[in-house]
Amino acid sequence: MSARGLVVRRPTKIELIRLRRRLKLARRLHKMLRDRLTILVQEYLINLKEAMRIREELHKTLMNFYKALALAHTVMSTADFELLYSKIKELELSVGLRNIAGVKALIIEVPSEGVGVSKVSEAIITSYRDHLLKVITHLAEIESALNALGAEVMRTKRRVNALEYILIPKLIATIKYLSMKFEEREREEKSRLKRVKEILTRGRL
Amino acid sequence: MKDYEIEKYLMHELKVVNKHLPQRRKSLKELLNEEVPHIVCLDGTFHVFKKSELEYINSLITDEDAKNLYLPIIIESRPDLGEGTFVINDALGAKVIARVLGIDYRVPLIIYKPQIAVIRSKLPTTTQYAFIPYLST
Repeated sequence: MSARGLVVRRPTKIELIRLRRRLKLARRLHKMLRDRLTILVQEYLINLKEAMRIREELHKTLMNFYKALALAHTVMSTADFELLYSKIKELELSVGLRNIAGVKALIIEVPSEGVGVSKVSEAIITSYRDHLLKVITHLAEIESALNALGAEVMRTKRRVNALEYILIPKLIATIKYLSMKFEEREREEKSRLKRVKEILTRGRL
Repeated sequence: MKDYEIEKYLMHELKVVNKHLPQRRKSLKELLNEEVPHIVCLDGTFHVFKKSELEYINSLITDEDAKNLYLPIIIESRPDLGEGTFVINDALGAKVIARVLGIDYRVPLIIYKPQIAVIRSKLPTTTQYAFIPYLST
């Protein structure tokens, strides 16, 4: 924690009032950023859980898909396979942006009918394709959100720490220094007045 | 970096913390009729809704409510009520959230962190957070 105060050009009462106002604002901002950080971390954890679940599902689906593919290899000739690959269409996806508490993340949706592999392809492969595409795009969406959220969590954490450990302690130290200075000045003024009073009474006598 | 620069930089955060909120909310009915259901945020970016989510919400409410339900549902973060406390002030929004969570419906609806996790995993695009500044410190 930095206990050093801020640089004050003129130690005046106006400056003290200004510093108190700044401290109030800094505390308000600190609370708000801390709330945001809590929300972002929570969102990160929700997405992380979802990503783990989808990855597991993807592995299971791929396993089934590869099994089906291996089976198809045994019954289809190489020429049939080449023909099948040549008929694969381009994948069309609708991609947009969503906003998670200020963090922009991708949103990917797969149109439900006839994409990816043409209808001529074998039934053994087409039975898995829709599900597989849905799982892969969902995983891409969640993992891209995870990356964006992770970066934002780090950014917000840095700001919260800057406020908590640098700015607010510095403001407090400066306010304390100025208040002490004014109190000292007041005490000096009082003793000076006392001294003047003493001199005046001595003069009268 | 000098102190006042750090301060200026940090205070800027206060201005942009709610920039993800919509300029104008749209009704569920309106969004269901759009090809790409979206709204424009305060910072000028687009926020796209998932059609599957819109259909899910539509299945929870009546046709009349669908005309009057404005999306996204704003979830206000209210730490002054206790840490991890959130409030939904919109009557129809509260109705939808209460139905999704299976809790009693009341306005304003106060929900907590574990419930938020459920809501955000079920309705990630149709709900949005709002940060309410502290009125007193």
